[in-house]
Amino acid sequence: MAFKPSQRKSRTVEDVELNLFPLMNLMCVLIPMLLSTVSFIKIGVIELNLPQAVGGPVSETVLPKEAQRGLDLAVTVTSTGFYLSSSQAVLVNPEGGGPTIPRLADGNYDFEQLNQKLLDVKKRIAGGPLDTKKIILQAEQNIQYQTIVNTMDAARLAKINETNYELFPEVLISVGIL
Amino acid sequence: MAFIPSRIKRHATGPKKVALNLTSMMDMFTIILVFLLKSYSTENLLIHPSNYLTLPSSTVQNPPEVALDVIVSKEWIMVNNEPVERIEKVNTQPSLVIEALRTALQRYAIEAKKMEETYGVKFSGKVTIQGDKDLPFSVFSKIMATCGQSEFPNMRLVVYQKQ
Repeated sequence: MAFKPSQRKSRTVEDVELNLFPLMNLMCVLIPMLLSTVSFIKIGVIELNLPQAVGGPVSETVLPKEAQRGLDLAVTVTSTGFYLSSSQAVLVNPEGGGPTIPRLADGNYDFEQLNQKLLDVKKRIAGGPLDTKKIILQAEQNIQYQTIVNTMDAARLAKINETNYELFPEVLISVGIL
Repeated sequence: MAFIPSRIKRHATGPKKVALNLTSMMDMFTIILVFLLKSYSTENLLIHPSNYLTLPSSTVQNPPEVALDVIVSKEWIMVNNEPVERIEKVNTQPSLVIEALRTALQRYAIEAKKMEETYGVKFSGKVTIQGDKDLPFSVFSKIMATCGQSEFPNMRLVVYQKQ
């Protein structure tokens, strides 16, 4: 039998190139599709739950009965600033007169101080019989919706050292005295 | 004597096959794809902010949910994109309840209750309110009072999330 030279030696490693074109086609379709659906603005919702309306005068549906007892903490947004009050008293401005937290010099509302004041209140009542998650929000007729939303934000959470503390997340909207 | 190049192009190899190096581009695409897939969510498709208003921004983290849409733009109140009442009229009326809105909401409530009876879809009384950020509190409170009176007491105020 004739000698057959080994085939192994002469076998060369071929440079195999992956055919990437199908994958490229896929990417070219997927990326525009995902880019078109991506949303850079995130939408959230603020929950406001009223008790189910069962006839009766309007004021009862807007201001639920359970809020009429207890601490009855209320924040009132006026054109001059915030008034903080409970069923017994109104928190006074330490500098005397006017709203509890007056507007800042540049005309903006002082949400940070409101947040701070509410945190103080929460600390005092925490664990006690008056402890509540509810806060009543009242406003003057011409107060803007954005201000109302910001007030609810200030009443919802307090941030201390990057940790969130729950203040009064259950906001009850009161139309006030008409 | 000058050098005459050979006329027979012995070393020319003809049109060369040019291979694009796609590897780095593939890397890039893979990264973009992963990033986009990560940020992909159908959540934001549930609520389409109306074009006629600017929503307020808030620090709230709750995700949106599907419900009956009440849109309050600068000129109109709309329920599911059907105009119901003009804001001007709401501004001038002394009563807290907006009758036109109430009629529209009650129609939806009746439909939803029929659905509950026939298909067992629970009627939750949820309504999402998209309000313009410059809306005065008087309009806002009237709309909320009307929703409360029209069997939709669970209100969701739609806002932009602050980053």
